[in-house]
Amino acid sequence: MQRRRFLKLGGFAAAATTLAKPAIAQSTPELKWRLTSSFPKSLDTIYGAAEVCAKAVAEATDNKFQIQVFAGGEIVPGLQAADAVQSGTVEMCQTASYYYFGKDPTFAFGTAIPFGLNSRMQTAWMYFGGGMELMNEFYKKFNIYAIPAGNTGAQMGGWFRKEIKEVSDLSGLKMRIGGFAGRVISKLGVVPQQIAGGDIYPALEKGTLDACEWVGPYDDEKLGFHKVAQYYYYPGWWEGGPMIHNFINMDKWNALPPAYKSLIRTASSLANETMQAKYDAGNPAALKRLIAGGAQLRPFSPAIMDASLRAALDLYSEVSSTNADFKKVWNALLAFRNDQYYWWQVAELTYDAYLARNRLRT
Amino acid sequence: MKRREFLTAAGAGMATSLIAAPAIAQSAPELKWRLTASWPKSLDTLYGSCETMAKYVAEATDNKFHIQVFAAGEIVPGLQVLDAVQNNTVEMNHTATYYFIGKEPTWALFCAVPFSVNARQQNAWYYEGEGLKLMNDFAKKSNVYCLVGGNTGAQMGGWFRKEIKTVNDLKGLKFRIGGWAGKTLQKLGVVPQQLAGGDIYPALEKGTIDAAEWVGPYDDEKLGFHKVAPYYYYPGWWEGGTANHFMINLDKWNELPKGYQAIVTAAAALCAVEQQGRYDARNPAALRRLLAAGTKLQPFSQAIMEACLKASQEVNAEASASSPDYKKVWDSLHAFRNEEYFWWQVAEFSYDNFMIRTGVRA
Repeated sequence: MQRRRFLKLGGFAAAATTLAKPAIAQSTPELKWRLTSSFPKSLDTIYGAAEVCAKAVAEATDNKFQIQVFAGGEIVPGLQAADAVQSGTVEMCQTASYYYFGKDPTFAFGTAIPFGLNSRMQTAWMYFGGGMELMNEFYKKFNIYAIPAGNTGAQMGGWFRKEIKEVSDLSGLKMRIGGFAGRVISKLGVVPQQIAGGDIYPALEKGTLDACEWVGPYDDEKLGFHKVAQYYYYPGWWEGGPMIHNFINMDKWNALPPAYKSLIRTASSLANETMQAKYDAGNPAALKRLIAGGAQLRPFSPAIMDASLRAALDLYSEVSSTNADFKKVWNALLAFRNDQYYWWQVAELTYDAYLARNRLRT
Repeated sequence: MKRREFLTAAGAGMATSLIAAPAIAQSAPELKWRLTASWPKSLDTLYGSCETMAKYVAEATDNKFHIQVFAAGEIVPGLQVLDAVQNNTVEMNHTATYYFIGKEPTWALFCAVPFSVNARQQNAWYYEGEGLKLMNDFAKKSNVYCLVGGNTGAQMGGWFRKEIKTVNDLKGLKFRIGGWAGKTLQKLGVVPQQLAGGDIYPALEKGTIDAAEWVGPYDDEKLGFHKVAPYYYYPGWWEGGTANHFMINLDKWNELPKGYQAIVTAAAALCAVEQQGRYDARNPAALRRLLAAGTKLQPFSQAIMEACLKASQEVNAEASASSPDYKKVWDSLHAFRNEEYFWWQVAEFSYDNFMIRTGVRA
């Protein structure tokens, strides 16, 4: 009888929308999933977002659908999270897609490429610029379905033992810098090093490492880099708005009842919103403490920025010439980015510029 | 085969839910709510958030919790949606809280006030600062519960029939501009006008008003202002990141099973992600079309920005003196904004700034 009443109201948009799928009444099965994060618990901003997601799903289903969250290393090492999802060892992981650029550089676009999109643009591209469709078409080869689930915002350029004034200062510099950014910066003479989080501090202290990049003030502070490498450069041009994803095993995703799929989407959005919020809320005070603790804030010089941009563009055209997937996604992202910044320079940037200049007067 | 399995499962699911109905009644009852929007359907980005809410809540509950969406005017006029929820005429609305400054000026602070936080900073204040707590403490007096339900990003400064070069040019200007911004501009001699969306174009055409502000390129284009008032100013310093909210009757919210509260909360986050994403994705092309059609893009002069900032400080001081709630919330937001821009100027702003300067080259 309820249904009959609604059929009469069918002229209204929302009623029509939901009525369009009346047959989807499904039972809500008991399900237990495991989510392996690529991140340690100490990165409470990122790791915390996986917990936000799992908690929202559990609450919404009265604990029928439980997602148990494991830190990097508890089931598989952090950089093998996607493999664990692909093989079905776990149903789901929380990861940065650029960790897998060694399998195929196209993975990098899901999270961040040097001189790519900022945080809001990355979300806009994913949801309304064709990004999710393009990336999920690519991930299909790895039996993975991906949903955006967080962002750190623009990162910092990292910690340097010595000032970097000219492009030539980069030559021979041993820098802890990951993945695709390492490939770009190696074109300028940097020798990229892959070192786990906990090993960076002693290497910097001893001088076996000249520089490192991590995330931004809130996360960097915990590792204490400012005590051994005081020059703190910005911006992190290789990560203008890196996005974190939930990767889900495709078979497991397809087998989910529609209600559970819907919940994973909304819970991932909650993770997406609150992770960015947590970084945005935590970074200012951390930056103040770092500066009080002796960090010397420095912008990368225009010459270094320009040389880095050229190096990135060279790399993108090299990879595009041999990798059709990469080329397709890069072209889409490039067009989207240029369109975005065309608009961004009008209202957003002028607003931010004015407020940044006048914040102390108001 | 998938399809067969699905149909079988669906059939079984329906049967189960009918038979088991009494047993699960507490945790997943059949519910029908009405949501009244402050927007017409033509503002599809804002109105779309209401449909997204209804869609995801229905999906996650297998249509047991059904929210029917009504456009402004269908049940109550767009500016009376707070009363409608407070009186329980409807369970829920989607609105911009600055519409209710006539009841209490504090409502302005939860949506947008001149020279306040940008969109991401506003989210950070809500989710990880004091925002949501302050808002819901305040909203309790009106018997409503609030969830963040979207943001437009920085808006434009509106459409002017004549160029506005000096602060003097604002004197006597009949400007269609709402609420708190109107109050601020009044101090500079502007005569604020309240006009519904559909009445703006003819008034601008006839010259009974001199200027109008609405939202940004995507929404403004539909109303065709550029044909009658070609000067398009930026930034909209009164709306650096305009948040909108879902308001729910507090008794109805408290009566919801925990599972449904979790579903609505997560769905609201997806609405927020989507709305900002839609605006960001759609504004660039709209701006291009507006410029191609003869729009003249102009920044507000530095002197005008300064005078407006000063006027807004006076408005904030006056409201703080007369309303303890306003003072409490503004003090929190103001301190948060200053912290945010201290950090923002480093990585975010310098990244965006570089990308804008070099965007055409990449």
